[in-house]
Amino acid sequence: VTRAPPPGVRPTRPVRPLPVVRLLGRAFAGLIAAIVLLGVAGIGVSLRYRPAALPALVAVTGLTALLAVLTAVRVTGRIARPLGRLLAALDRLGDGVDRAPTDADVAEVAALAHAVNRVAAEAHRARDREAEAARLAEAGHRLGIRIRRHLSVSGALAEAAAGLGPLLDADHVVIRLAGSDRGGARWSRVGPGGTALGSGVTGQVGDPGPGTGVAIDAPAGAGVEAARPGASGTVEPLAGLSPDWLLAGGGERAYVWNDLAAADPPAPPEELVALRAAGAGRVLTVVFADDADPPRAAAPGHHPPGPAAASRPPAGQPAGAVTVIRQPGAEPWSARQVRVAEAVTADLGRGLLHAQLYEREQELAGRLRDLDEAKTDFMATVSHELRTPLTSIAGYLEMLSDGDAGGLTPAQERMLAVIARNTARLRALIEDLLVLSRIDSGTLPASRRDVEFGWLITSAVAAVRPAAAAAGVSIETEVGGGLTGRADPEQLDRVLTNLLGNAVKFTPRGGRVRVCAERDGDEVTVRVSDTGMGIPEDDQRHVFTRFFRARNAAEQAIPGTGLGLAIVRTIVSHHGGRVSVMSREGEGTTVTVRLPC
Amino acid sequence: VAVTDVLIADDDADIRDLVAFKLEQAGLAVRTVNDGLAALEEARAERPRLVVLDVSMPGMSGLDVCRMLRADPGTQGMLILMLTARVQERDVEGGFSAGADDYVTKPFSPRELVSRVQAMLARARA
Repeated sequence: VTRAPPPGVRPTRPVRPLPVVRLLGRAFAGLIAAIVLLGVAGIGVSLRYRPAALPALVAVTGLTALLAVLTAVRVTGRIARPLGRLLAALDRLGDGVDRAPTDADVAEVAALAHAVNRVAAEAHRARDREAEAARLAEAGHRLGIRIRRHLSVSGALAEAAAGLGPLLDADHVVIRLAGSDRGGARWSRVGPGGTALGSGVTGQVGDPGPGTGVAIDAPAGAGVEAARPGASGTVEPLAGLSPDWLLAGGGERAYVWNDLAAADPPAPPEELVALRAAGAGRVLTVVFADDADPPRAAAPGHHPPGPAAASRPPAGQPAGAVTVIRQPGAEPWSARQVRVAEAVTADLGRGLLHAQLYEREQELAGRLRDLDEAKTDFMATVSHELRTPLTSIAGYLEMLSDGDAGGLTPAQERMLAVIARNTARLRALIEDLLVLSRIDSGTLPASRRDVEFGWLITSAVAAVRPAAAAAGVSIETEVGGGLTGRADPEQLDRVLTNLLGNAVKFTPRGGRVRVCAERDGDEVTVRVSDTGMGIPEDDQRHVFTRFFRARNAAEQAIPGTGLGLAIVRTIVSHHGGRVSVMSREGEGTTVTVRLPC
Repeated sequence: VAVTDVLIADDDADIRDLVAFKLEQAGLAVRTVNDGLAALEEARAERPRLVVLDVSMPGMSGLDVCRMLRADPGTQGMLILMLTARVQERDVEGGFSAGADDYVTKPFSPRELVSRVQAMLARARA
């Protein structure tokens, strides 16, 4: 971080540094020069006035100069050299390994060395703390990721319970969910070293089941005074809190430091026993919210660091709380540990929210699946139950018509024909309904295979040809070669049979039915056209609706279930294709099926 | 001693009577039972040439009866025709894998059933 200098302080002008050795050298050189100068002057003076004193003067001057030189060497050695070493030690301070030697002869230099060593040690400790804080934050971050990776509530809880203990040096971890609208609060906890002590789901609020963990049924407000950062509280009110306690303190996160001996609660629930085993240990509780967008990502600078940031209320509804407990006499929680606990707890809140959404979705999907299976079972049963009586009706009808019970009058034969026609209709209806329900539920075996459309069309045409011949309708086909695609041949056969059956059924004697198939880009287009009665314009957009029958078909009492084209459309769309109809009343109808190939 | 040509097993009395009527009309000696266990006992005791088995019967299903007849050396050569109310492919496959010689889906034409039975008997005799 670069800081602008405070106003009014100018940056110091760079001064050329001067090594102390050279400074002292210059000083002593001047001194020696002065001594020599003084000596020479004295010699000059004595030569003129007292020549007898000359030898003594020369000796004194020489001695003084020698002394000055010796002093210079000694002083330089005692000050300059330790200073130099001090400098070198300061240079290496960044590595945090060296100590400045404190054996200097000069007291101030020695004191300076001691001071430097103190600063170095302090810097070393600070660096260790930074590294430890970074390690803690990183471990917390990783734990948060692991928690959020779980898709089940119990998995996320177990991960948090197992990871928070070692992370925060806690002996016990207790996780509670506000259970009021979730059918009971969950809890889990770990013993020393992260070993799981147990997990489970509590009973409904106010309905403590035996041995199911903590019952959250204490009156609201218990432990409220504990719901302030830095406040102290007890384990007992925490264990017996109402879900409302999460809102205590106006929705602020609650931190509870417990350091007082507990009074004996009557028949403590299971969790309380574990909490009491921790005795008057230190307790830290962090509340988490059910918001998917926690406030942790707030830009720095918007929230000043410190307790104010720590007590920022969660944005969503309080959803639960994590409580970590240390043995009595353990170290209190550091601000860093509290922050990491907050971060991990926020991750737990998000992870739980996602897991709950996922579990709810899974549950819903499972229920829909069950429902679908029940529907399929029902349809299979209904179909069987309807077919059995239909077998008797159709069978006895046939015997009557065959004269197995004796000859019939023409009137009786006409009446039996009506019964036979309607029996056939009922039978077709049952079959179509069954097919439709099977396709809807996906139980109709859809085996996609490489199919040859030409072959499918040929066999479908062959199947309807007898009926067409009886009705006096001709069928012509025009199928290109090499038309292949992936499809369920049985279902496609049903499509073709339905379309050809319709074409023959609605075409009067002497009419024509035409089937053509061709490749059109990456699609296969199959057209079934007839010269039949056509579909009234108003009815054309309804023909794919279940049970819909065109007005003219109903008026002329042409048998049909109104399900044929609905089945066609369902099968075609299951194959990723489209179906359309073009018709002119009285002239004919063309149904076009386009399938990807 | 009356020889049984065809044994009919179906829990629906109307269908049982219908099939019996048509087969007797075709000149075959017929016996009827109304569940799978009786079908198994009767087949072992009477040794009919052909058994008409309804697939869905209470207790032992027609498929079970079919498997047990095929597993028994005394009855494994019998002709078996299954009557089924299900048209799904896998049910048909299930019938054949259980050892049935032919199957007819309900609702069926009594006339067609008789001709199938006659054809099966003729093939076996040939």
